[in-house]
Amino acid sequence: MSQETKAAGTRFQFTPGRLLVGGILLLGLVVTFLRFTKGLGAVTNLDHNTPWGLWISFDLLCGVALAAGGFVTSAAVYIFGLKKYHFAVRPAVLTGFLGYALVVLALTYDVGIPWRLPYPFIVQPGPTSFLFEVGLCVALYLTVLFLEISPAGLEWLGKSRLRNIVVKMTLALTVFGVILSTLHQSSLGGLYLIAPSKMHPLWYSSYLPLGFFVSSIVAGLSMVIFEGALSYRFLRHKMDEEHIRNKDDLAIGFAKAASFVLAGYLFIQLVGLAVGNDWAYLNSGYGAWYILEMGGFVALPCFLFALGAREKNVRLIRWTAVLGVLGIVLNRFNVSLVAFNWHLPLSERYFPSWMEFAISIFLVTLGVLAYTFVVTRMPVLYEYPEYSEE
Amino acid sequence: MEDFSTFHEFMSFTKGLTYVLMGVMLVVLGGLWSFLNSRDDD
Repeated sequence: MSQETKAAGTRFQFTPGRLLVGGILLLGLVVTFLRFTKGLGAVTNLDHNTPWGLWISFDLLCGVALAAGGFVTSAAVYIFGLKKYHFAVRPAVLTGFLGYALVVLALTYDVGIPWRLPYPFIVQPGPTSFLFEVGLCVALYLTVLFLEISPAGLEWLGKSRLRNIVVKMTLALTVFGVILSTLHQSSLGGLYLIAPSKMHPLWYSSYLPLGFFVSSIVAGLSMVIFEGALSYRFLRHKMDEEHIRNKDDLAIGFAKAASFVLAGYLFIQLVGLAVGNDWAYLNSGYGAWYILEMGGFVALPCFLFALGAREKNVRLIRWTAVLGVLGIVLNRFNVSLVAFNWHLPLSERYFPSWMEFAISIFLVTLGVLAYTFVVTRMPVLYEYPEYSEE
Repeated sequence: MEDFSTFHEFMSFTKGLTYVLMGVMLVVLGGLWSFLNSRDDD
């Protein structure tokens, strides 16, 4: 390659995509400045009826659920012994780590006095609270995810001795990660158990924690399939032979699991309706919305995942994974926003301000940029030859 | 919505329906499992 070509290849160019990303980051920084100088009231539409808005519904509830791919893939490989999916662990764990890191970052926006975020651990613990458990688990699991992904960074930095020590802890970290995920994924649903009079009966049931945990498994499986498809499309040059050869097997295997878990989730929802005898509510506007969620975003992906896995139709599986991801987002929005305060008149209902949307898009963009930064430099989608036998 | 005169009636109805659903779930999940795996030997 000539010097001129090299220089042309490395020169920064303004493409429409880069301009869009730059605009999002700039807008995000401006709103961040407003949030931390003028307070929550200046940038959000939150009020005493709805103190948890878009940043909790999307950045936290959806973020935590969609970051479940890390513990799901680690458990599949290291606990259930599906070694053929080993190549997918690092991308999934990296997505999980970035997802949880952004959840914590989003919390600093949402908590009124963000520097008091560690207070529940060091100043005034509330060990009987679901929120305390969620906070503790997220803090611990973020540390676990950091340790799980650290071998990629240590290999990149050439620190093999430290890397070997961390790799020896893999199984322990995986078990700890599964325990922590089981606890806090379900506890996020448990947070809403305190408000039976505020939530619509179709979404409220004593099985909320179980539903949140089981649906997080579907979210994790769908995200690994979806993210694998995106990585193959945009970062194929960074993938090694094993990754490219086995990616379809991974999609089929995870689609089978997602289909089965979705069927279980659908029954949990039905049992929730049966226990509360809430069938009559189905014949209403909220009922139609609930039927759309259960039919279009639970039963349909369950069937399509099963069909795709049986027919080995990877294209169908990938599109169904998008449906699965959207279904989880819809469910978390329904539980925390649509069904919450459902009895209030429309004029008093919460709708996010444009600045809340701007921060959410800003954080997602940060996550995508961080993921691209890491996978284009560190051995995430490929393995260094000296470590490939482990 | 059904009319229940006592809590016992309510629990009998909802629990009974839940038991029926659990039975259906056992059959459906078994069928789904075989649907998913029946072509693996090909």
